Amino acid sequence: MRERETGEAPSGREGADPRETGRRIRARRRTLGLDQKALAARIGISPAYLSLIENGRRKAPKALLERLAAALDMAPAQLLGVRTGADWAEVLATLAARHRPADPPRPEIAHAERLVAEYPGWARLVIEQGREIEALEARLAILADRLSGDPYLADTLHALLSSVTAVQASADILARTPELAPAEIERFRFNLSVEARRTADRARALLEHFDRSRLDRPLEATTPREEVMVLLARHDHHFPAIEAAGNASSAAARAAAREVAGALGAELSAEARPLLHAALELLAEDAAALPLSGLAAALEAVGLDPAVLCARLDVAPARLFRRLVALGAKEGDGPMRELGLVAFDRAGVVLWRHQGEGLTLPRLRAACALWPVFRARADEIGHHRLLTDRGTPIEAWTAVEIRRGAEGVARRISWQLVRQIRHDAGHGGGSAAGRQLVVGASCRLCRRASCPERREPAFFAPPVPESASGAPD
Amino acid sequence: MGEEDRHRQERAENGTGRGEPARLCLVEDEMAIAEAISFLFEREGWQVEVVTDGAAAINAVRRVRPDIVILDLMLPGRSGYDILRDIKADPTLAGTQVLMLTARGQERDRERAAALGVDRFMTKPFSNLELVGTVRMMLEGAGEETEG
Repeated sequence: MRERETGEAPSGREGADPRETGRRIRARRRTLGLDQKALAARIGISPAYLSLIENGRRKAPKALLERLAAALDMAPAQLLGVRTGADWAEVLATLAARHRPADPPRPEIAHAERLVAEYPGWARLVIEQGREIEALEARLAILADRLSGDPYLADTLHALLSSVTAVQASADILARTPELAPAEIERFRFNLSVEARRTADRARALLEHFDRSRLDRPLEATTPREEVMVLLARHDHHFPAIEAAGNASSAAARAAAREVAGALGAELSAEARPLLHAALELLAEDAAALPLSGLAAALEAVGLDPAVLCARLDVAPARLFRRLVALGAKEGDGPMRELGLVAFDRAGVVLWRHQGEGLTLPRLRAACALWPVFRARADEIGHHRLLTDRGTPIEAWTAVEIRRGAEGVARRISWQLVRQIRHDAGHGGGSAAGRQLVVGASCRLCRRASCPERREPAFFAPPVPESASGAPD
Repeated sequence: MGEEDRHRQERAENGTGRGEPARLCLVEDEMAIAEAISFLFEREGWQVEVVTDGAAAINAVRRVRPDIVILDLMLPGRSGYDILRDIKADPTLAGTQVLMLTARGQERDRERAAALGVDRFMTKPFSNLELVGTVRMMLEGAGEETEG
């Protein structure tokens, strides 16, 4: 099917994005176990140039693209993202699985290929609409957070206005009241100088906040922790330097983490930098304790069964979860790539978020209260099969990690590893679907019609009432 | 000295019609703002009780029974909205007006305060003259229709 290219099928132009092309080249190269140096040598360019292409900063000319494709055993069109009919059918099937309506008739996923072949126009419409909806929903989630949950912006602005008010009121009294007693003059001068300094500090903090917002992450990063999560996501949670050092020793990995944190921290706010350092140090300790090669071998032997893997590799569940996600990032396009990971503290605030493909995980806070992560136990890995509010079957593993904080205080952090259950794989276990727990990301985005845990209404009107239990809310 | 006092007394009685100084209660947690406002009010001859904690506010208001409560919105302990609701729900405080003074001047905040029966709404930063003028107007207009 690689030879049969139907470039005109749904939206063949999307391959024009050099970043997408670069990502495909990198993923394929990693799958083949080649490093940049080796691939660059094969096609006769410098590793630095290859790196620019992989990062989407240079567009490979046609002749070079052909050499690249040959070295990677792919059709050039595939590198550009021009897909075959079979590829499009798969895209359609994935979309359909993600948005399965509650009531029949359901999409005939098995006939996706026929739909693409016979009605390419309709197929294209469905795909483009599906993507548009997903993009809009992602944006909505960010905006909703920003409006209702940007505590930093609200607090800083409020504090700034308060200190401006104090400055203005004190200065006005000093300027307009000739009969002030010396003690009063002293008091208002003191207030004026303290509040003027606070005004300056707060204005600077606010400017920094807006400055950061002007960069390439206009909406996402609203708190220092979010900044770190956005940065980690941009690097795909994968830091080759830390991984390489982790193979040597824990100390080397931590040194590498410090170095990476120093280099990347420059683009973050001052408050976010220590958080980045801590996050990378955690990843470094993970890398030293469980090299990805060992994990990949164990995974191949026993499959994705976290409880068995923990016992076999002698690691704590939370660490295993993080390493599985790291493996997915390293593989580029393997099955582990679909894993999502999210962590909460005891108050339900999101501490860690790795968005798996096709999943919606909560952002700042106010996660769905029904998630099994909130019932996670310290002594065992929980495993749950769930349905999302869109009807997508997912499975989740939960574990609790106790970490020593700065003053030796134990922090209890609950981790949840999530992935979508593929339509064909989950088919057999679908008999109990009607009784499965339905979870969302957060109330504002949840389509579930009636839910005992609903805190606030959704943006969207719920599409269909739940047929499962019929229990009135 | 005596003249100044008489002048203050005149100003203070202005509008209250009781022959005694107006009583105000200022609920504000920012000390620098509270000091400035109470200085301005005392200069007008008004009696000012300052409360810096939201939780203690309603008891102070019930004790002082002020003509006007100048109420901040974002307070530790209890929000300005809750205090406003308590004041408006208490029949013994029927004669007490509320001036909400806040850095949160969004339409949503105004609407919410209006729905809870706020008498006046001012945003920070304010000018001293404007604040004193508004309070004087509220005192003068007490019992009359106010144009929220």
